[in-house]
Amino acid sequence: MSPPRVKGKWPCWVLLIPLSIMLLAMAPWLSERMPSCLFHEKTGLFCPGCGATRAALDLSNGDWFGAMRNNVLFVSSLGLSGVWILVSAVSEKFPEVKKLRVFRFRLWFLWWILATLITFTLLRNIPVMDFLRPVSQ
Amino acid sequence: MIEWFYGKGGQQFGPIDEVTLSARIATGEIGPQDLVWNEGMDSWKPLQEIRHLAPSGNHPQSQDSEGLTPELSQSSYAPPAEIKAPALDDSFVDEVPQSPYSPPVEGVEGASYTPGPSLPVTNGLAIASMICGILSLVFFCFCGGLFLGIPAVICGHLSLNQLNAPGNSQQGRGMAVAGLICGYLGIAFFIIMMLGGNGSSYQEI
Repeated sequence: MSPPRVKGKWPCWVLLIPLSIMLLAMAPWLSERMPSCLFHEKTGLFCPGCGATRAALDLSNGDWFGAMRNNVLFVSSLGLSGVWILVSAVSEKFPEVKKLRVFRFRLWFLWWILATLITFTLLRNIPVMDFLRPVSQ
Repeated sequence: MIEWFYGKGGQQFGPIDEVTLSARIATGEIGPQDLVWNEGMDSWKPLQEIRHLAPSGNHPQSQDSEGLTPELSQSSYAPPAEIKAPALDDSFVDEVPQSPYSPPVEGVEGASYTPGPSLPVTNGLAIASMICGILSLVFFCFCGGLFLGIPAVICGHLSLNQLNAPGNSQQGRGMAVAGLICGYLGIAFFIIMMLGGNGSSYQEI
């Protein structure tokens, strides 16, 4: 008897890719119907997601720079997530390729995500870092 | 013949056959909380979850009802030879699931079972709480403060209750606390946003 090999599964979160494409496609429709950010209106602060809808709208129009100006975290995490999901899916499919294993999900990723989120939120609310704020209000 | 492995005190033992396993259960050497595994199982499970092995009667004869022959019960067997699996690739050691009782490493052929210090698994509710909490902070302006913050808080409290239970060796307290804090913050931000908010001003955000 030797330890069995567990068959690799195609990760279900690959579904995030068509979901993201659908979100980008819906961005113009969403931007016309979304209310202004009540949190920003009430507090004057910028939340981490502030500008994400506008960034998605810019992305759907092919304006990468405008999207980055509105929410750099959203755009970069969208790109990184896309690459990571694809490579991770390939890694699951071809486990013998060792270099791809670094892309497999680890729980400590969550701590990095949380730290990035908090840092980004703090930075974009500091006056000297106003370039991280959405450009169009 | 099914060959069993079991883990006790951070060590892995086996393979042994079912008769030997039952004998060790009967003598109390293997307790209901100890993990067992055979090649037909996806992962290690506590002995008490293995119906025909669970020490309800605490005697090996109880397995006769599961179809073991009397000859097996009389146990004139010789212990099987130790498994000699290929050594695990050093570059992959960090990626082995952190438990001496780990099931076979996904996608790695010939991964060996390396005895080592016991590292408990992370509580699933703690992970769920942290994920929901993080998402609630991002999406609180899309009602995520409610629909993600509340599950984060519930999962966080349930997780802490489980982790505080006596005999629980799981980890993830930090994740549960982080999920709780993020969840409460998401709910708080949502409430701040809604208090006196003017929802009629539809414009691009």
